[in-house]
Amino acid sequence: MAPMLLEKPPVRFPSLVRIEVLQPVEGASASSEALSGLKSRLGDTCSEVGGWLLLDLSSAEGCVKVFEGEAGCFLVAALGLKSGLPSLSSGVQEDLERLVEELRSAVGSPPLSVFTIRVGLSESLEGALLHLEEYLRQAGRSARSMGVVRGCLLATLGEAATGLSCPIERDLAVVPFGCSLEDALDVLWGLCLDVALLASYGGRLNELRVSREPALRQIDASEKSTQMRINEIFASLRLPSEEVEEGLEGVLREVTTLFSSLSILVSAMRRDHVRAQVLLRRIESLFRGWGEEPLKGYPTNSTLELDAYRSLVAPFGDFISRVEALRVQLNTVLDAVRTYLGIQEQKLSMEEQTSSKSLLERLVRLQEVLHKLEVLIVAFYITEMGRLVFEALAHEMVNVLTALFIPVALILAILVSRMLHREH
Amino acid sequence: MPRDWYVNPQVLGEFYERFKDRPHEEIQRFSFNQGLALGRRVVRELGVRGEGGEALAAVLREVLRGEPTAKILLVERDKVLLRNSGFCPLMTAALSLGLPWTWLCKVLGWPFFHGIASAVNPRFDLKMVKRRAKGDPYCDHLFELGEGRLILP
Repeated sequence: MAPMLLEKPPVRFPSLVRIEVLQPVEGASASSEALSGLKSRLGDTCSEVGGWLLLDLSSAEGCVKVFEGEAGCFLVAALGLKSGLPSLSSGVQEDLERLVEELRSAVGSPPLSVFTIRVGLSESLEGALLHLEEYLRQAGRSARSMGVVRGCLLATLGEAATGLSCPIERDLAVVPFGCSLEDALDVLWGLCLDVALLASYGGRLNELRVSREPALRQIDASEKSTQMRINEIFASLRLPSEEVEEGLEGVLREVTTLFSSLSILVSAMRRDHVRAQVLLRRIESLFRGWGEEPLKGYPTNSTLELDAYRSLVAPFGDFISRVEALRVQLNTVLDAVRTYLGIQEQKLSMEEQTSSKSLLERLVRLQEVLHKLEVLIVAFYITEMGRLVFEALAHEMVNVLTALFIPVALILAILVSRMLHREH
Repeated sequence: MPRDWYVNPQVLGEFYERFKDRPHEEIQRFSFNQGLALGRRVVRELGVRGEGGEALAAVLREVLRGEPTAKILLVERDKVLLRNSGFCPLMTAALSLGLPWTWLCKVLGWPFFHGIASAVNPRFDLKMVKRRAKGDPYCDHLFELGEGRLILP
């Protein structure tokens, strides 16, 4: 349990305890200053004892104090009868209510949660139940959950609130039984500390959920519209390739924007989900420590409260799952774009290969032509050399001999060309 | 203010820190002037002519280029309907920084768009017909020739 301690109120035995968890507000005045300011304004009608502001209410006495600590800022008010035993029917006195409101507004922080604990006292569990039933009958109220916690009958009164609202409010009835007044006071105050922690965790969890509600409510409509856009993008990728290429840049830009937007959204919501789960785990741990026993077929307080807090946390997880599903689809879109680009690249490469092959064929043909030309040129030179020889040996028959020598020159040229190319 | 302010967490964070304690009217005036400056620049760069719906639609298309959630649904001589659907980028950025989404819409988003419209014609009213921050499935910005007012819900 977190090291948070609220001091016992300076009244004989509290009949009513109000615990409010105040929202930390930047610039809110410190509680001690607020208390001194309030005291000087109220003058003689109240006194100060150990940081508590005491108010004399004829048959009862009321007190208020603000506690600031790591676990939060708590406003505690208590009402104690000057004589007699505490009773569940001791209502909040108007004067004390006014004092609580004035102190709250002096501190300058709106409440996250308001827990009111009505206190009775009985010798046995049966007596405690009778006491509670009588109070419910008189007040025309009902209990929605009930159980036995650490030797106390604990009941949550009234109907559960429908819809989200801040602050969360709880009206509890606590009847310690089978113990002396002193022991009952210890048991009661121990339970009040737990209730204060519950008010803190529950209030913070509720506030987180209320603040994220507009975003959480977006999921249905936004999921539908994003899904439709994804389908449109898929359809556009099935168009003829010329049309796809025209819009591909736009599609990629759009998908990237959507993807980054969804990623930010998921991380932000995941962070809040973790915060909510931490608070929920603390509440679960608190209730495990209670070991609450059921009574008369009523659901236990811890079961009902846990259900309520779990229902506050669940939408965070649902939101993350649904946005993640969209992200997966966007990944598929990106895969489709990648596949399309891959196919286009492959086509381009095949076209390049075909073009290279035809170029090579043309080169080979050119080389063949060159070889033939080479043979003819060599044959021409051999024929000319032969003509020079024939002019020296047989001047009159030079033309005939040269003409007869041409086939020989061609054969010689072919042989020379083959010899030269074999060497290469 | 950069053109991508609505998806730029750094800009939004700095904006919030700078203006969070100022009166709404003062911040709205600042945002309006930012939108007006951007609108005038786009009108100049694109060479947009006219003062009616077509001219405004052209400016809005340019400003919202690359923003998949924004679509112009209706363009008439004196009227333009701009619809933002899907996940609001302002909400996304606001959520990641823990900024108040509705506050940003009210003092930054809507006056900014009204400023853009006023660059085309100062008589354009901006009426927010639907709002995602209120739980509507989309945001409908109706620009209509009138008295140049920003009509918030």
